[in-house]
Amino acid sequence: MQINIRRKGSVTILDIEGKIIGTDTLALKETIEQQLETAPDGKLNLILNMARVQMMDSSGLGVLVASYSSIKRNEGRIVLLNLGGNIRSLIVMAKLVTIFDRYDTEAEAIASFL
Amino acid sequence: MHQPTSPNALRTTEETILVVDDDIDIVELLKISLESDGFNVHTACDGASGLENAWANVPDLVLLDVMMPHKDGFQVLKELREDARTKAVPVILLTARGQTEDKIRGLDTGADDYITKPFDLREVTARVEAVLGRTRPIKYINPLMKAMGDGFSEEGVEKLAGHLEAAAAIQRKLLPEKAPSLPKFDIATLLQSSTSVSGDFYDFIPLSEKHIGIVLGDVKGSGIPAALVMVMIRTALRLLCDEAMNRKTDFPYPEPAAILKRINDLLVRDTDVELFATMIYGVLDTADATFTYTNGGHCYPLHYNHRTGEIDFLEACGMLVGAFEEAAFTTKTCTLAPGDILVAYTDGITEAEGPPDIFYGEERLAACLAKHAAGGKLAPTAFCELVQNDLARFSGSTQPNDDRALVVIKHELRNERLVRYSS
Repeated sequence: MQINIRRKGSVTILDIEGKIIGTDTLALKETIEQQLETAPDGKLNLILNMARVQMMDSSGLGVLVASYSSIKRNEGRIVLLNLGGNIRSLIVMAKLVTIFDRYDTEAEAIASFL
Repeated sequence: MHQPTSPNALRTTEETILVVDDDIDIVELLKISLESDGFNVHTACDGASGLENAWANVPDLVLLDVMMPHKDGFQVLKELREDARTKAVPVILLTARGQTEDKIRGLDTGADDYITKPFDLREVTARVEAVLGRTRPIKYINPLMKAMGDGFSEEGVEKLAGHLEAAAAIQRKLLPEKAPSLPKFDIATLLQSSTSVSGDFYDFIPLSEKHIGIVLGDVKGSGIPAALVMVMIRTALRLLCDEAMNRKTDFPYPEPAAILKRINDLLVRDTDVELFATMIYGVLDTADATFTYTNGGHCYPLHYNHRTGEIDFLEACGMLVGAFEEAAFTTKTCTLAPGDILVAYTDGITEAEGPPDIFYGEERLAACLAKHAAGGKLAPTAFCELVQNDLARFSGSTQPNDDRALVVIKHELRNERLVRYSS
């Protein structure tokens, strides 16, 4: 898995490429934790761009859930962009559609923070 | 890629080698050669950028030239050893022929091996493999030692192993030894753990003469933390059911959604956000032949309809358990006619990886059920075995990489029991 970090104004975008499965998910978890630590006042506005994620498993889902809670605690927000592959169905199965905001374009995702 | 021989068996992911040399040609040559051996190669052309690279992206091994302008190999090695991130990364020095003093000084400074220039590329591969073969096991044991803190000792490791074993034993005792035997229903289970303690679990809770609570769950994460949460859930579930049955107010049994909500709230309050579970909890009414259930973000159970030969997914009716205060659950009922089969499973089954990037998936599981259930003669125990064999064929291994659990419930066809016993 490769993660590229970009910033647009007060929004941090992680472009994730590859598979979010098994122990590889730790890299994503660590990256999000780092971003949370360095965010001003700990408030992180985060977009996870999943356009190039081929697959995700339940460990990956675990990272999303844990990140959601830790980011929300500091009044930040996490949104998902370009859900493909099996990820959408995983999120539907865990009934997380009401928890995670999802967008199909980066502009919409960024606008959601304004 | 290398064939997995003994130390290589620990090589689970692509390993990264950092090559630091001021001679661009040598850097390129080593990069091409090592990449063709299946390594991921990073390069740097002087000491300072080598260090920067090593700290930004800790490699599994460094090939380090000694003779470099500004910061030479010895200085780079010294700084690598002084930094916590790279303290334990193996380093092979590249030295000019005959400079024995360099070799001794290098080994004294903490190099793991040296290669003299000019070198044969096959020698480089052999030495890299040899050094990694020695250091790989240490890399995997280190996190364990770190987790144990300063008190690490052989005795400590033994003690930890003892505790793990005891935890596994307690957990095994909590799992029902065998599925309950019920009138008209045949139940079988399967549990394969990927580690000594399991995050997957199931349980059967007698509620009344004709009602039995059935749970199948999967605590996320693995090892001891997951096992502890599993024990919490199992205990809470049993107590809540007991309490409700004693009060006799919830007739004929407490609503599954209400039970799951209480377990959710308990976990949200008492555990870390990263610890949560997905689970199916339902009550089988053996008189009405119904299964009244709720689903906490778990894989959709399969319902094989004997009359039509079709399979339905029992779709979710709640969020995963223990992560969100706002989680809500609903209860649904499914009727199990004679010959019908209900299969609840954990994602260790559907997420078993076969060919790269391909999961076993719900569809394969459903197809396996449809194929064998046709005709009405499939026994739940036989289905558990079929799934195990199908998974072994699919993933090419009998060792699961995640816990796998199955609970299979069949409403027996009339006379099926008689036939089974007389044959």
